[in-house]
Amino acid sequence: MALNFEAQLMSDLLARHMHAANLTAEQAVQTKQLRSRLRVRIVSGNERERGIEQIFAKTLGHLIFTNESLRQEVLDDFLLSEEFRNVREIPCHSTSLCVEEAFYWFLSTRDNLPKDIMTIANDEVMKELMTLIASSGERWFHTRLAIAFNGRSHFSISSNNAGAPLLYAAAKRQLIAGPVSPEIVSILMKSVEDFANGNSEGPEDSVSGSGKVRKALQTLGLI
Amino acid sequence: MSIDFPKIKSDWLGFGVGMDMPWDGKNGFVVSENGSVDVAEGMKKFFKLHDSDFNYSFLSYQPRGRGRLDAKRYREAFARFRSFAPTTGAFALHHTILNMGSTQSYPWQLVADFTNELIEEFAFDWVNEDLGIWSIDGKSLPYPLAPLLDHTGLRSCIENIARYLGALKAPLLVEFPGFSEGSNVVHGKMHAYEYFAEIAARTGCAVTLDTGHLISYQWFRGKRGDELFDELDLLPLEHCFEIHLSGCQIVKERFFDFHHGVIMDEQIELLKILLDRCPNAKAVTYEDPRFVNSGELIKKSLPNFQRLRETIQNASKMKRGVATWH
Repeated sequence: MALNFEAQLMSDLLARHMHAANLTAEQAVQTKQLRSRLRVRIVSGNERERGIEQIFAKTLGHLIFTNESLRQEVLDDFLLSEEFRNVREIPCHSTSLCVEEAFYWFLSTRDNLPKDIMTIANDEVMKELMTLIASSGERWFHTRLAIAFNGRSHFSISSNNAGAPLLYAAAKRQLIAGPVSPEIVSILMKSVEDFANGNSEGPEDSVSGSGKVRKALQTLGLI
Repeated sequence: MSIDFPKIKSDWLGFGVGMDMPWDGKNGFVVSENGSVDVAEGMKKFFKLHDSDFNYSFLSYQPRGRGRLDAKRYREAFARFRSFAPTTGAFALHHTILNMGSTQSYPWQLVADFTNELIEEFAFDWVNEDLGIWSIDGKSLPYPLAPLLDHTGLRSCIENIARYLGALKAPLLVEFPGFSEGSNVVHGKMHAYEYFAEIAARTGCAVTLDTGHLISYQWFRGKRGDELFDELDLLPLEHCFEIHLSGCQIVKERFFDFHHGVIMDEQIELLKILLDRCPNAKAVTYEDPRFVNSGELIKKSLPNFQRLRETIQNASKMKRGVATWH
């Protein structure tokens, strides 16, 4: 499908090199500052927002370790990717992935990246998404990641390289992240089920696990 | 077609001030650790020092973080602004997400609903926005671009404005866009003044003329000196309700709309011409004054701030039939 002028312009502004096929020489000069500021905001961030480089510092650091040019290639390709094009920053975030998750899924489509890169990227994207939720108190963006809600907290369970469960959560306006026991996973999953069944204030014995663990989770705002 | 002007209490609002309100904790809104919101101290002091200068004000909408559009998140902040800003004559909202220059499909109803919630809460006397492309594919741009100066752009602008005119619960002032150097991509061959007049005539919208934006367009077209004031009759002068002045500067033969508070001589000359020729102009807004922490204007801005104030005082007298311009 042919892009309209605006969409084509956006592609030109995001391209690493200014080929700007549809721009006149004069327009290309006019766009120089705009282009620089737009790319910098998304990739490097500004005083108000962090960019991809900060949010995925470890992931990109790992790419540098492997191949410096690969890191730059990934960033450049992301800005022109379908994943980024579908991001809607304003005014309807709720229907689109946020830019952080779009970058995560973009990475998952690449077949020339180190094997373990998605584990690192998953850790960074989950921490970022939970931070976003914690700071606003709600999940305002669409997501394809498994983020559950139990009426009190948003959380996601991943696993580390050894297969042990890792928790990422937004509770009481704070990010909570780290390894957890299978017992905690079980309590959290049951809390989602209870919430879905309208039983969020259910009796303590409705969940498995010791009272001490449950109390700790309540204190943290996780259940 | 009648023109949808703001309904104000008096025939002449005079001098007002418009403030950009970023959430950066320095120049706009300040959010404390406990989540309460306030206006930056320097701005409060500025308002107090200039209490007798300004009769009305607007604040410029800046998104509070990246969350969904939710008027509740702005209530406390806007109320704080209103409690310090001059609002005797009027209180208005300068918007930044109407995106009226876009040729793309856009969830305008979401924006209109959100804006109406703010209008209901704060009784804004009008809503204003530069006619421009503020975002593309849902990504905000560092500066708004001028609309596409061709028939596609014209048609989209008319449709977008007509929609908002029908949906918003306050009058809409459509502002002539800027063509500042380094921040624009001009596409299309239509004359921007005629283009803007066509839109005003077809939609019946009231308009804002920004002196820096008008000069930037003529500068972009290669005009210099008195030629910068050429062709003003092509503009929809009868539709003009408000005139803006923000700090502009020419650097190395390039025109910049810096919003740094220092008004150029040419802007004041243009203001005088516009006040003469715009029969329905009732408000002159100084946008984004720059001040130090004590609230005093930066020194560089003082000479032309004084001239601006005198020009408006003369205009006020003239409106009352007790003075002439020159």
